[in-house]
Amino acid sequence: MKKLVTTLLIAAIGTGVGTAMAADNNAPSAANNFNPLNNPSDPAKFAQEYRDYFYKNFPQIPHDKYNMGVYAFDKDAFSQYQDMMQFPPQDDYIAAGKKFWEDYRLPNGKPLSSCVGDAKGLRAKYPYFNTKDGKVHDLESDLINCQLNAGVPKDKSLGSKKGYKDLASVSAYLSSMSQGLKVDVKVPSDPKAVAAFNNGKHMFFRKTGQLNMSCADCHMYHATQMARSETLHPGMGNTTGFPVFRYSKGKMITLNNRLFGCMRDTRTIPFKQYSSNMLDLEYFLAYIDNGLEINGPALRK
Amino acid sequence: MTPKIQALTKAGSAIAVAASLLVAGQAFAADSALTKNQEEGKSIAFAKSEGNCLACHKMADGTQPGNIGPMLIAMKIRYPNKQDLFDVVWDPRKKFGSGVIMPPFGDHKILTKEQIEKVVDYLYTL
Repeated sequence: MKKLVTTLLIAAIGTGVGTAMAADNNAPSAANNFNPLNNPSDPAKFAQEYRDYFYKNFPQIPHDKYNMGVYAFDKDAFSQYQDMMQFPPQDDYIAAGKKFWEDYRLPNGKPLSSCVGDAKGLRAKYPYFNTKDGKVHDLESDLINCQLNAGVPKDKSLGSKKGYKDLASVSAYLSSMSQGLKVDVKVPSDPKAVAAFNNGKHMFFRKTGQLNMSCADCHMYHATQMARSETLHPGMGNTTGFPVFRYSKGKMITLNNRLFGCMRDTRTIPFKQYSSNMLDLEYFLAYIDNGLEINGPALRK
Repeated sequence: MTPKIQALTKAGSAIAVAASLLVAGQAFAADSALTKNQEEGKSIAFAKSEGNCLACHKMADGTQPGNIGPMLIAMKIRYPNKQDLFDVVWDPRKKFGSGVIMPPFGDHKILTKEQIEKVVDYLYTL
C-alpha cells in the first residue's frame, strides 16, 4: 500500500514538473486547492472548476461583482475609484469613438458596420471562434482586418501606432453600447475551437519569462494579496470592462494591449498583438467570464 | 496668524525636526552596523529593478511591502546553514517545488552569484 502511494506521488510530481503547473508548496492554503492538471479537457467543465476555485477561496467577493476587479473587495481602492469616477474620463473616448464609428468610411465608401454589424450589442458577440477560418476573433482585430481587407494600408489602419487612439475610442464606444449585456462566449463542438480554448488555458497557466511566473501565480494562487502596494485582482471578470481607462497611464487600454503590457512587465517576451496565442488567451479569459455583465469601458488605476 | 498659533507652529516644527533627527540618527546607527557587503546586499534587495524582495516580502526598513511571501526575519535561525539560504534565492524551485511563485534569481540570471551572496549576507542580519 505504501509503495502504491509513493508511486502515485512520484507520478503526480513527475507530471507536475513536466508542465510546470504543480501547486505552490510555499503559498497559503488556497494555492493547493486547484490543480489544473486534474482539469477536464471539456471547456465547460473546466470553467466550472476554475470558477469554483474562486468562489471557495474568496467568499468575500460576490459572483456578480467579479467584473469590478479589486474594487469588488478592496474598500480603500473602491473609495479611490469612486473619487476617480466623479468625472469619468471614459466619456470623452466614448464620444470620440461614436463619432469615428459614424463618420469613418472604408475606401469603398462603406462604414465599419459593413464588416461587423451594428454597434448595439456588438461587443457581446466577441470574442468568438470562427468555424470557417478556424480562428478566434476579437472585436479590435476584426475592425483592423476590415480595414486591411478593404485596402487601407497597415500604417494607416487602426492597428498602427497612430491609429491606436481611434481604435481605443471606437472600442470604448462599442463597449458602452453593450453595457448591461452578459458575456456569452461559446466554444463550438469543433476540435479546433476546443484546441484554441485549451491553448488559451495553457497560456494562462504556463510559467514563463525571466521571472518564471504564470498568470495564475498572481491572479489565481495569490489573488487578493499584495505585490508591493498593489492588490492582485482575481483571474475572473477580467474581460468585461475592456477597454479600460487607466489613470496611471492616462489613456484607454485595449485588452490586447493590457495583456501585452503584463507580459512585458513580468519580463517575458510578449506575443505579437492579435497573434493566435494572444487571441486564444482572450478567448479563454472571456469564456471564464460567461454570465458576468459587460461594464466597459471601465476605469482602473 | 496669531502669535499664539505662531508659537505653537514653531514648537511643532522644532519637535518635527528633533524627531526626524532622531529617526535619521537611528537609521544611521543601524546602517553603520552593516558591513560593506551587507550594505550592498540591502540596496540590491530593495531596488525595484534588481532583487525587489519588497514586492512580496515584508522586511525591516522596507516601505510598502507585499504579502505574497513570508516575512524576512530571523533568517539566521531559520537557515542556520547559509548555503541553504543562498540556494533558495538562487532557485527556490528545488526547495519549494516547480510551482513556486518566487523567481529563480540565479538560475534565470536576474542577479549574479556575487549579488546573491551580498543579498544573503544582508538577509542574515535580519
